[in-house]
Amino acid sequence: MTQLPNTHRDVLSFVRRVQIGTIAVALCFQARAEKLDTVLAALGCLGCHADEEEQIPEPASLRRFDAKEMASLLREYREGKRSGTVMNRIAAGLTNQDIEAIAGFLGKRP
Amino acid sequence: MIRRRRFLRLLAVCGMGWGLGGCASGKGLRSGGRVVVVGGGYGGATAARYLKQMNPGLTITLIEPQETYLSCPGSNEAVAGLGDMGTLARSYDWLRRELDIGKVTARVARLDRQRRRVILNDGAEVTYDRLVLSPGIDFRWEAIMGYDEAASRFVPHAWKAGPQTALLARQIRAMPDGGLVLITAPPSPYRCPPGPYERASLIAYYLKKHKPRSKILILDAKTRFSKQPAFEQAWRELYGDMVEWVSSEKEGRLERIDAAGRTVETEFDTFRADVLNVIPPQKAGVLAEQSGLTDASGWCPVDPLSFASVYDPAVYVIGDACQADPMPKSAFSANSQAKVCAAAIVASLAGEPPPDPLLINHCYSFVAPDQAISITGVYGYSRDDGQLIVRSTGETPPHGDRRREAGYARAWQRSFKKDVFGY
Ligand SMILES: Cc1cc2nc3c(=O)[nH]c(=O)nc-3n(C[C@H](O)[C@H](O)[C@H](O)COP(=O)(O)OP(=O)(O)OC[C@H]3O[C@@H](n4cnc5c(N)ncnc54)[C@H](O)[C@@H]3O)c2cc1C
Repeated sequence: MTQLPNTHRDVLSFVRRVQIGTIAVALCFQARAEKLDTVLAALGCLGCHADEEEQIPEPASLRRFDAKEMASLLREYREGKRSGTVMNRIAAGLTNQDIEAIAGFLGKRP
Repeated sequence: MIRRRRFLRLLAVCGMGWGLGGCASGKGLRSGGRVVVVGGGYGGATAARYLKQMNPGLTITLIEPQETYLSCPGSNEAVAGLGDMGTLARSYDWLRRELDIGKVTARVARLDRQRRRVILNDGAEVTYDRLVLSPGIDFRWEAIMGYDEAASRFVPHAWKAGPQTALLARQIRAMPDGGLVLITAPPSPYRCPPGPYERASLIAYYLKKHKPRSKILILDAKTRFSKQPAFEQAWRELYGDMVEWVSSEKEGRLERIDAAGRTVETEFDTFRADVLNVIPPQKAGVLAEQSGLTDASGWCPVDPLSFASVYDPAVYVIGDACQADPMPKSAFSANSQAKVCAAAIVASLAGEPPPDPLLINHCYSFVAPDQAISITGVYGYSRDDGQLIVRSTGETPPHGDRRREAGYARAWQRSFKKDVFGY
């Protein structure tokens, strides 16, 4: 199993950092409401998945994955190549575009 | 203090780093606006949080009569004497401190939609550009003969967390071995479709341990229920024949309740209980009804693209009070709807159309303290008929991994509150 990252970020939680930063981009840079779709798809994940401060193995902290890993995990869940309890059901409702959007938004920046 | 400074610095960094001043429209994030949120439960608190995070330039006022919110998710465990009520509580301190959300501890007496004002119980008025209503449910006290608010003080519904939860827990603890717990389950739609059956499961867990000759009877106004196969499988495996579910097909209508005698009359039978838990038929919170935002169904029709009321484009209704078919009325749904609604309001104040919503519901039910089952739905929006559509659904199969899901369910209870109340 993947190890939890043990780097301790001092700035607020990852959630807040990414949310505010990216929403600023979504709203301002592109200045197009469609970009909020991306934000919305990703925010849906945060009802269950914690940020890095949560030191529990499951459900996985989203901080563990970079965008590529996250997208391929979601696709594997969707296609039934990886079995979970809940994630197969959720991934089944996502389009390729959703998956790219979620992973791009929540995945760890390299 | 430090955290707050960091947060402000963070905003400043975001502002500069992301080029806030360079918005194409010249408004974008900086556009101001007064948004009032009524109801600080799972829907309202989420909306307040994400409105501010999506646009820190907004002035957000959250109006809620309680200082401390008590979560219904987790309250069935408290009913069965598992876990204490303290873990259900959340304050608004984080929202106040970290996000500068104005929390007003008051009840809203009425809305003046013409003048876009909210009038509080003490007569004070708050003006809004956009209003979010998340008042939850109220009960149709007139629906069951013999059961009204006065009766609920000794025959609890326990469908709003608080003194009602504690009362039912005390009655379960005090009842004799060999007694009958009778739960009446309401017709759809209602708050938390699997809730009555989770409650029966956890009470059964307690009784099996402490009063093993007792029985639980669920008299249902429905002919089937949420996660039924997985619940029935779990009941058989864990509690033998302790839990009995009776469909309305068999017993017919609930005719009358004698609260003092803890007796329930159906079309065909009379049942006398040692502990009677009546979960009454429901409707949107009365404020929505009094404000002319409900239809004949008793719930608030909304445009699911934004959750704006079909009766007033400046008022948005989310959570249990709104009609968001096919989404069930759950805390998870309320949270998901609040995010969609926040994005739509931010867009609307910046003169943009609302984004396409993607909504999720995912509800766990404990069948024992270390075993849980779940149901999941992902919802999108169909521009063709202006309605929400199911993108995918699924539930725990009868032989699913209930222990693993219990671990997830516990983690959810914590991380979910953090997503809503910040801690
Ligand atoms: C036993 C039980 C178990 C449950 N378990 C789960 C679960 O595991 N998962 C899940 O997703 N959901 C669960 N739910 C459902 C969940 O509790 C509700 O769906 C959720 O609380 C809905 O959020 P809301 O914001 O619409 O309403 P609420 O959370 O009820 O919030 C409404 C708020 O509005 C305030 N209010 C009302 N009128 C006014 C007024 N006039 N002025 C100011 N404020 C006002 C109230 O004080 C209240 O705080 C459960 C429910 C029950 C009863």
